Amino acid sequence: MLDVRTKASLVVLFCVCGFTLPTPIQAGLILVVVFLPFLTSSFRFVSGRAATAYRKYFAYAFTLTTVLILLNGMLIQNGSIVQLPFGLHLYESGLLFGLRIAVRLLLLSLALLIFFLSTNIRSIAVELQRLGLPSQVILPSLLAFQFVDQLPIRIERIFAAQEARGAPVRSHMLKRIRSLFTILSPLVLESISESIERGTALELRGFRGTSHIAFQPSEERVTHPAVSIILLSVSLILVLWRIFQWLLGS
Amino acid sequence: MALGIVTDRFSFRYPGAQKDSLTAISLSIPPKSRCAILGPTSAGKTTFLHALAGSLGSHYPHGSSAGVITIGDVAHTPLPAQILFPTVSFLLQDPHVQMSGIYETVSEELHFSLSNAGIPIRLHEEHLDWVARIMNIHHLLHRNTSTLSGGELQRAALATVLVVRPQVLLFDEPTTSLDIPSQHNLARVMRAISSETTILFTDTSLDLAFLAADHFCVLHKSSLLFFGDRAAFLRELERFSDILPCHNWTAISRSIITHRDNRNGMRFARLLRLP
Amino acid sequence: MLSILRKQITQETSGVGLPFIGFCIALNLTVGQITGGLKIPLYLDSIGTILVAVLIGPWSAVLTGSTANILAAALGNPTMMFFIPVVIVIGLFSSFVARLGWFRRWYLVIFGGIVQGILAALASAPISAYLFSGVTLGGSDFLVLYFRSMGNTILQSVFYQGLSSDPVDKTLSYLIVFFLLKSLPITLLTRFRGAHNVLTNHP
Repeated sequence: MLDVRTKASLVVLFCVCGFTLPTPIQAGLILVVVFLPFLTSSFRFVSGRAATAYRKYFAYAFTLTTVLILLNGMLIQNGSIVQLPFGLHLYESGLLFGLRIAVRLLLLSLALLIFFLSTNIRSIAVELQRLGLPSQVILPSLLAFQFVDQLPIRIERIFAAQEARGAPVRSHMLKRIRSLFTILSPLVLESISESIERGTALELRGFRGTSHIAFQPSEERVTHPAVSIILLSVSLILVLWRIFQWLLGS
Repeated sequence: MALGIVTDRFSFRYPGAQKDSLTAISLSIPPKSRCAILGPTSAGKTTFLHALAGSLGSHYPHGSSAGVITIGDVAHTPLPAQILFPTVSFLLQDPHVQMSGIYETVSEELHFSLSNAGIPIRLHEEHLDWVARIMNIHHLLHRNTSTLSGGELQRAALATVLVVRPQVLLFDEPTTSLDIPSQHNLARVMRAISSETTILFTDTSLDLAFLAADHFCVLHKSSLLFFGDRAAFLRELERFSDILPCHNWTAISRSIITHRDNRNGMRFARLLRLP
Repeated sequence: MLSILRKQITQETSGVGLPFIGFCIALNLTVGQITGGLKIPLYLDSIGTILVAVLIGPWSAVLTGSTANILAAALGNPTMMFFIPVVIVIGLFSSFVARLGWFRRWYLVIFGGIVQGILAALASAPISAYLFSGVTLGGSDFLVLYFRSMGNTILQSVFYQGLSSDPVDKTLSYLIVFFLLKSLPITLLTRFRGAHNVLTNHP
């Protein structure tokens, strides 16, 4: 079981690879990243919702990159022509350019995605606090997730209320935009006063910005500092090598 | 050590407001008392508690205020400018906002309060045991805060401010989400802690006040109508009949009887099968 | 660096506390999800950032925007992370505009929104061009396509496309924030350090 720091270092390495290594190696890395959640327990999704989000993003990214490659193949009109059925034709250099961008995009976004979908936000917060990040940064992010869970419930409630009053909430686009505003205003005002009340409650319980958020150690912490250091050093070497190459080239 | 609270002609007006939210409030709450602050909505009850807790002064530095608030032997002119936790603990009306939302279990929330109060970790367990015993919430300590029912949440919320063993406990409208048995339970907790804590709570009706309070204060339209002990309040009760409703007359009649003749009152209460 | 961050944000949030920032992060995320779900050609996903910028201050606004874009990854949208430089620009510029007092008058709000849109387009164009070559699977792809087929470079095309949509989006966001602030009760508003950015006569 890898700890948060090691996982984060691995993701950093993947992202650095996305900017430094040639496309074929990146394509290979994508395959590794795609199957990581199913191969190791460290990258298993935290919830069913995370697994759904992964599938949805994967479908989206697949469509996006296909369109991206085809469009660039159409627009960058250099090199040999690739004939397609129905009299369409694409250009090879455009396709290659599109492929390069698509692979980079897939590697970066999937690596980030599997990290966040397989790691509990709370354990990320614990780790960030250990690294010395102030509670002003950590507390809002933890609370944001609570609000994100509550907001859809509230929106649904207000939606229902608006619909009962005859507001056209599921009609055509202009009306939908208008209904968005009728939802937003009461929701936001209610939530602003609640969030300020929460702030007051925290202060009244003695929490100051300078306070340390005390987390109970939930499980035995396994660390692999050596693994992290190796992964991060490899990333650094790759970056330096790329800069060196770039200097030579220009 | 419970602290007494004395206010001398204390007034406060929110910045930008047209009139005072509290006008010339003078009262003297002795240490170890359980004081009910009664009055209809927007009478200034919550503002008064915020003034005592120090949140009014720190949140509205531009508000205009006059008078003196003395807590224990510290005189604040006109009002505390800093939050006085853990000396003064304040439980807001809505128990949902009381939980920080960053922890999972009730006991983690209690540890959070204790660390904020600067209580060393080795004493945490002692405080937790004390609050769990006095409030009878041992079974709630390891529950997830998001699965608590309304009444349980209210008790957990009270525990988060009580766990630091404050010298003054402020309690804003505790009855909003409590049924009658829970109110009796709360009154029992208040009596149990009043030897070391002065308690002030606000309410719009008389029920909990009659169960738990020994001092009464009536606010109406930002001024003080009445302040006094139980006997004086019962004598003048009729004056407030139109601004203070009561839902549980048996409790009131019991407390009137208890006041007039303690022995007969207890017998009457047993006849009515009151707890 | 971290201690400056700590000090600035403590100073900025005095009076309202950190949960308000948490709520604004959630507002960014949720509105972003709604506008995505309603299939309308607007993002409006920086309303929370602008609210914080006006009411609290620049440091907190940058924190709100960037945290929201990072957390979007946990909700299944990792590409938002690449646009953190854009939300930093939005946070800084909005609080600058608020300090000038532009959030007191509706016409200044509109003007500020347009300028903000241009700046946002400038900041996002290089990222969008380098990582996506302008393709996002949104309706705006056709515009990028049009500009590219006219012989512009990818960067230029993405920037022109941004110029056509960002000012509208940001002006609308600014106006929403303006009207929200108008309907906020005065006792709540005066709790914020930035209340004088909104009120015309405030101590």
